[in-house]
Amino acid sequence: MRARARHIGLLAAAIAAVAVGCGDGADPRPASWSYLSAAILQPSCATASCHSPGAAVAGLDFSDAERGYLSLTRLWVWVVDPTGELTENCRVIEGVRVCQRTVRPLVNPYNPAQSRLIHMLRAEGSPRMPPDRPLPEADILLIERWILDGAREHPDDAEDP
Amino acid sequence: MMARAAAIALVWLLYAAAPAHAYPHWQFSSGTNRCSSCHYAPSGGGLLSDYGRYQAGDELSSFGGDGALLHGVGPTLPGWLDLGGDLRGALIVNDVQDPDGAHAAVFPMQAELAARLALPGSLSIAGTVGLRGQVRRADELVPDQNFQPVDASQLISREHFVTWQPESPGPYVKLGRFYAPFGLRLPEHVFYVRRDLGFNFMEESYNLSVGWHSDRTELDVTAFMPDELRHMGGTEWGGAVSYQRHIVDDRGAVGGQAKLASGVGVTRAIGGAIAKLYLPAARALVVAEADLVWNRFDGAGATLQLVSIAGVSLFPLRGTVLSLYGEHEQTDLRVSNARWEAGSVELSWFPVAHVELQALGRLQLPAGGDLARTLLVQLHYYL
Repeated sequence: MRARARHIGLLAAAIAAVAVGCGDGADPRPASWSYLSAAILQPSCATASCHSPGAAVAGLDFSDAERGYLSLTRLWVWVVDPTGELTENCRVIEGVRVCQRTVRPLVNPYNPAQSRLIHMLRAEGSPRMPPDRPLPEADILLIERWILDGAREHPDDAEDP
Repeated sequence: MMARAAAIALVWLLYAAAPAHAYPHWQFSSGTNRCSSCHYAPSGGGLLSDYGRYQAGDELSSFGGDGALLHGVGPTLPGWLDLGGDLRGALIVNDVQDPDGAHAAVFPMQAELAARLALPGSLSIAGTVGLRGQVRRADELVPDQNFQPVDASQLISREHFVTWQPESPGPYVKLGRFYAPFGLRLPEHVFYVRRDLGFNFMEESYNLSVGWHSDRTELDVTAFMPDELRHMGGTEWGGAVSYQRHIVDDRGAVGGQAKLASGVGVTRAIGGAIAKLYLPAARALVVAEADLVWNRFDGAGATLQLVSIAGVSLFPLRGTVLSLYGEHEQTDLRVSNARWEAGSVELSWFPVAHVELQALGRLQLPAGGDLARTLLVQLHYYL
């Protein structure tokens, strides 16, 4: 009987752990890229079917800090040659000449309101990301803090991305 | 339009199936107390044994049927060979408060074959082969900067392993690609205890598992590593241990699990507990799991994370399982708003052997964010 009571107590404790959260609401987490990449972007975005190395949907790979930072700030894309005068990094695909060029990055340093990443995380005029599990607002605010601080890859970086 | 199509495709890939046949609901509730009673794998999942196929047809389906391969039609396989396979089609409706509303799609979810060969010396070799889904076309232009072996293969083998097991239950050694035994081993990889603890879709690792199972206890110790050749799935190296012990006259189990894993930019130590209890009077199986995760981020401090789930499965009619789950995840216990709550209702109906119709409704609420609503209906047929 005592053993049964002990087992039921364990079960009740496990169920209680499900229901209880804690914390005082303050956010002491660092708004640094190394933290954001490992704690938020990798687990939420770099799943096998999405922004992992093997899938890299939309060319974005968030599986580590370096690739994730590149994906957000310096990713090239293929664009149709607007003038017909481009010579480097071009190829013809199905009769259309396209060239690889940098475009507007997904983050705009110091300006989260003009950063497409934030628009997507909040589904503001853009499809929601992640599409299966929206981020808590605290995580989005932390990413905003990082962008407000210059969206640097390393805290000691002097230059903007 | 492209973005909308991609979003729909992404969602259905995210909800794509976990290994078939992993139904821990049947443990204790069906009178079968060990996973290996119905599965060849010592810790469950994957190909059904002859007894498991018999149970599927004779005990667990509303209108019975022959659970044998291809309904018992055709030649009998030699004793050293077992074959199987899974086909799934699904409808998904997903609403994450997008500006353009909810998305819906009907799609093929899984097409996979499985085989097991019994070898001399208590050895066996087993594996699956199927096609993985992909949002991006293989010939789609991608930036040159990124590492993207997208053409490596869409033909995948999520599981392939060699097992040495002289008797069941008993000791075993298992080497290959599979999910390491850990926690409740629920089949739905979208549940946080799977998604965020290293057991998400296609996150099977390469493992060496050593275990000892008896009628009342299970101990599994696993060393794991990622797929370094194809970079498919998880990225963690480490070890895990899982222990479960039956309680209350074999009507339940309690256990603990621990894992030490080194990944990209983070090292984490996980410790947790599980509990299952079948209540015959109510025909209800209560399950719970809670895990504490200590994360050590490279150059960015440490956090303590809580991931938990509790649920109950009811068996109102033969061949039906109605499950309710509640989940809580807080990624940093110092930050009360860094959390998700989720609730799921899952109804599975097994009308005849080989056939399952399942509906999963799921609500997820990120703290301070928008509610996500998902309905997934799937038709599952196994060979």
